[in-house]
This record gives sequence, structure tokens and C-alpha cells, in this order.
Amino acid sequence: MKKRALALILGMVMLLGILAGCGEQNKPGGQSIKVWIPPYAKSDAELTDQMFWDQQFDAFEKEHNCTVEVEILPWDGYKQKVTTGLISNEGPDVVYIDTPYDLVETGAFEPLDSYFTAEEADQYLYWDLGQIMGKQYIAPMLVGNASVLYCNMDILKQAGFDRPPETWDELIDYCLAIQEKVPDVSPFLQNWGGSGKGVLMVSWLPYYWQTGESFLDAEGKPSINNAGGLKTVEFLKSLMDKGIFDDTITATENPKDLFQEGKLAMYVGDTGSAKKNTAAGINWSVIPALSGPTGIQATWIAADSLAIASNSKNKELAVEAMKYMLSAPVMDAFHEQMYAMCPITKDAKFYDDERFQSMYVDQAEIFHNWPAFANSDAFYDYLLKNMQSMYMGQLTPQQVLEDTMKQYEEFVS
Amino acid sequence: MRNGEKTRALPVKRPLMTRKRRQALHGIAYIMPACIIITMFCIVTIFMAIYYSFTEYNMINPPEFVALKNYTKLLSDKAFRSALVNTVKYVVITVPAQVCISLGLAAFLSEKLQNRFGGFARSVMFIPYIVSGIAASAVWDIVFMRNGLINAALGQVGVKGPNWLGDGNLAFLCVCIVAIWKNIGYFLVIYYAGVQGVPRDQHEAATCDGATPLQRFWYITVPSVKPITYMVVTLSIIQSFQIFDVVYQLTYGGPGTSTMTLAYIIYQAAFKDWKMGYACALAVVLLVFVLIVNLIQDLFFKEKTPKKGAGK
Repeated sequence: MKKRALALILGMVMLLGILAGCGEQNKPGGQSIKVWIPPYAKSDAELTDQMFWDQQFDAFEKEHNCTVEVEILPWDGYKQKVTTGLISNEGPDVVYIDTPYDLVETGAFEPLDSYFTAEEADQYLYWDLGQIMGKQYIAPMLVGNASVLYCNMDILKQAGFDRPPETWDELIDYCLAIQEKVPDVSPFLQNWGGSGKGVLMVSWLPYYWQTGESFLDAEGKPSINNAGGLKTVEFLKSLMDKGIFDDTITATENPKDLFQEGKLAMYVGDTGSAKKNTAAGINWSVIPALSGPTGIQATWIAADSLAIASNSKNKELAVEAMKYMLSAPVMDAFHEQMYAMCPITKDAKFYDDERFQSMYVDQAEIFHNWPAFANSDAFYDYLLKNMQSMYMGQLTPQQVLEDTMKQYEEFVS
Repeated sequence: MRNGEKTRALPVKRPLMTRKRRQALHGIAYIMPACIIITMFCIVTIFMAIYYSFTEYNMINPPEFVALKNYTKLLSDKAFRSALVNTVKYVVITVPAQVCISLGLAAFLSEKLQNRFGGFARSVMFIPYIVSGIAASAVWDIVFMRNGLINAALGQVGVKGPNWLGDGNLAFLCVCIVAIWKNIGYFLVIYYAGVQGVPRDQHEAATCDGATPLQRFWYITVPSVKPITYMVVTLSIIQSFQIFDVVYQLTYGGPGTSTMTLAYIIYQAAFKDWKMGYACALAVVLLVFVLIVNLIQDLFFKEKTPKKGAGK
């Protein structure tokens, strides 16, 4: 009898829990919009992304007598979730996006030109980065987090160097010297064990741009099977041929962890890691990018943006929410409390490490964002897999380029 | 009743439904919800997948009929070839391993551990099956990583650990190990029930005749659980052809294409590349493969399993 009663109670509790989950949240009235955005808070941070955005939107909700439902979607599979959300009509009104081309092409986003006056647009420092196919589809929100070369200066000094390397040849010389003089650390590592395009933004694209070659052809399609592409892949392979990488390179996901443990001399990573590198007690220095064989400095920079879903039922309100999120007070709070990046409006402040401020201002021309082309995710996936195959000895550098282009062309055909 | 008075037959009240029919209707009513759900979510979706496999469909724009284009594309797709080879390799490795290990463990537990500890051991071995594949793989990732538990342990005894997830062959082996570890608990429980059903007197007689434990296992237990083996092999093959979560979490199909499987590229085509038509073509091919393998297996087992009642 007791067991039955217990089972009944537990069953009731479960049922109540399920019913509670099915219930609608209390809405104070007025209109409602959804904002989808990925997380930026550190995993151990007291202030979570959800808390931050809910706090920020309190004033907006009062002012507009509306409800803003902020959903923090994990980075893993972010674009898939956004796309399925937009397709299902249950998705966001305002959405954060990093590679918007495919969604713009399918008509998932509302052009913003008519919602922003020329004066408003002029306030944004990177407004033009939101131009796709001749229209303003996105508003750049988080610009910065460039892929830069971090160096552990203590290790470099032990190897006889007092400044970071500046060219491809110097990088190799430094690595060989470190291997000889500081044998218990890795000289340089890349994240070829990772997944997705994030690997390429630090481990491939900067080197390709450093050859001076253009990523897209005249028709706006990717074109990497050229002299620059070959130089890039051969250079990256030479790091293994010279023993700088070993066969574990295809299993290395986060070189920065090793860097923060003092076991790695150099790696290319985002500027957002600077604080953690400092907190780990590493005496680090940085250069924005190496110079390639033709002396060109170049690297990747984030320009992630906000967009309005074309199937949003409250476009006007969604645009107001977007403007609010991009405003100097909100973005200043974001950069100060969550993740420091470049200011995006003329009246916003710079909160990141001051070394990066001068870099972003004085060397703005070296930074490149994701090339915008159709089916870019598939292209990057082919390139990543083929690079991994090369490191496992299954492909030559030329085959990496040929196979990537062939697979992509077959894919889009 | 008076004499001479004709007896008038009382009208027989015929039941509206015979008992048999009533029972049949009850039966239908009971199975109807399951039938509707299976029809909607299994049968209809198979036909939908077949239909979409002849279209180009990105889930935003309406599907466009392209006839056999997706199927001809399959033939030249390098990723599909790699995935197909990997999936077959995976099935060939994991199915026999799962069957042998789970049967061996079931026989051992039934023979040697018929006590509380045996029950505890069975429960412990069943846990991996109920754990989410993603969560289990995340834990195994820590075990296999460059400076993971295995390599750290090997380092303690002065051995340089292998590059588990960075080497194509080893990464494939890691996927197999995790999948086998995860599934044997389930098959163990099925086998355990079967082994328990083997008459004890056969084992006792064999023991009296001087049979070793291994001989008893081979000549009594294995033939006795053959119908269960058929079921376990069938389930194992179907599960193995569908391997996805372990690959997704542990290796992302890499390094290169060394751990790509059919289910993984179906996911990739559908939800990363938004080529739903192509993904459906891949799914149809996978379905055909599973059906063919099951047909072959069916023929093989039917040939050797005596029919019920035969020999009487």
C-alpha cells in the first residue's frame, strides 16, 4: 500500500512538472518578440548571458510595453537551430548570425535599409559589412576577436628571441630554435582536431590571405586552387615535415589550453583569450598577423551581426529591439561585463586590452571577415577534412585544393 | 403446458456480435493507437523520404523534382563512398563483438554469479545503454584525448600513448569500442533471459559426462539460444548501421573521413548543408542496405533453424 501511494505521489509530481513545463509564461501584456543569441559569458561566470540580456531588456520592455524573450542557444549547431527555427515559423524575430549568406539568399531575413535612417546608419562604424547582394540585410554587432599570434615571451627568450616572429620563415626558425633550446614545450600548434569552420579562421584563412590571393573569384565563388592556395597548404604541411607538428596535430582541439599551462610557445587564437592568458600568469606578447611570402599581413576578424526574420510578425518592434541591443550603453555593458570587442558605434568605448585597440585602429586593412558565398559551410567542411587527410599522409597539398574545389563544385551543381 | 397446444418457439435473441468478433474488435482497438503512431511516424515517413529523394529540397523553398539526380550524385560522392566503407567495416567489427561479448558475459553471470553480486553486475553493465550517447562519448573523449586518462596511465609506466583520436584507424577503433561498451548491456540482458531458459539438467548431464565449461557453453548454451542470437544479431545490425551519436561527439567524422558513417553524412547533408533531397536519397540507400543484410541473415538462420514442431 505504501509503495502504491509513493508511486502515485511520484506520478502526480511528474505530471505536475510536465504540465508546468507546458504552460505559457506570464506575459504582462502588449506585443512579444523573441531574440536568439549565442552565449558569450565564461562558463564559470556569475553573470550568465541569460541574466545579462534579461537585465538589459527590462528597460526596453517597460518603455515599449512588450515582452522580449531572449533565448541563449549553444554555439554547437547554432546555425542549424536558427535555420530550423526560421523555417518552422516558431523562430526568432531578432537573431544573431555569423555567416548569413545562405539565409539571405533564401529570403529568411528582412532587408534593413528602410528601417534605418542615413543618420542612424552613419553612427555604426562597420555598417557596410552588413551589405549582401546590394542590400543591408544584417547589422554588425560583435566586431573584433581577430585571430592573432600569441607568443609566450619567457619561452621565446629562452630560445634567444626578444620579439614575436613576423614572417612565415621566422615562424619556422623560431619553432626549430625552441625545439632545440626548450625541448619540453611545443613550439607552435594549430587546432586541426577541431570541427567546423572555427578551425579554418585561425589555422587556414589567415595564411591564405597572407599570400595576397583573393578568396572569391569575379563571380563571387570560392577559388583556392591557385598559387596562393598551394603556398598556404605547402607551408602548413611543412610544419609537420619539419617536425614542428607531430601526428597528434589531427587530435589537437585547443592549443590555447596548452599555452595557458605554459606548455606551448605560440598559437593563433582570438583576442578574447587575452584575459585568460594573462590570468594564467603567462608573459605573452602578440602580433596581429604574420607576413606571407609577398610581405602581406592579413588575418581573420569576426563581424557577427543581428538580423530580422522576414517572417517576424512584429518587425517594427524587432528593429527597435535590434537598435537597442546595438546602442552604446548596451554594447558598452556587454563589452565590459561579458566579452570585450571593438566598439561598433561612434559613441561607444573600447574595453579590450589596449594593445588590441591600436591594432584595430592602425592596422584595420589587414582584417578580413568570412568570405560571403553560397554553401560556405559545406566548402569549409570539405577543406577541413581534406587538410586532416593531408596531415594523415593521405593527400598531397595539391590534392587538398583540387579535391576541395571538386567536392564543392559537385555539391553546388 | 397443456396437451395439444402447440409450443411456440421463443424468439432467440441473437447477440449483435459474436464473442469472437467482439474479441477481434477489442484487439483492434488496443493496437490501433500503436498502429496509427507507427504508420504516421515510420511508414508514412519512409514513403516521404522516398519521395523527397527524387527532389531538390532545402526546407525553405518548395521541393523541385529532379528525378534520379540525387542517386547519380551518390555514385560520384567521395564522402558517400568513405561513409559506406566505414559503415560496413563498423558493422563487421561491432556486431560479432557485441554478440560474442554479451553472450559470453550472460553465460558467465548465469553460471558463476547467480547471486546478488551477479544482479548488481548486470545492472551496472546495463547503465551505459541507458546513458545518452552524446554524454557517454563526451566522457570517452576525455579518456582518449591526447593527454587523456589512457595516455596518462601509459605515461606513468613510461610508455608513450598512441594518438587515439588523431589517427584515422585508431579513431575508428575508438568509435567501435565506445559503441560496443554502450550496447553490450542491452544484449546481455536479452541473452541472460535466454541462458536462464536453458534446462539445467542438460548442463548437469554434460558435466557428468565430463564436459568442460567451455564445451558446455559451446555445445549446449550456444545452440539453445540460437533464436535469441537471431534477434540480437538483427537488432545489432540495425543499430550499427545507424551509428551517429558516438561519431558526432567523439570524432566529428574525422580525422579526414576516417570515421564518417552513413548516418553521419545523412545528418550533415540534411541539417548542415540543407540538402534534404540528397539526405533522403542517402537514407533510402541506408534502408536498402539494412533490408538486404537482414534478408541475407534471415535466409541464413532460416536454413539452419529447424521449424517449430519439426521432428515430432
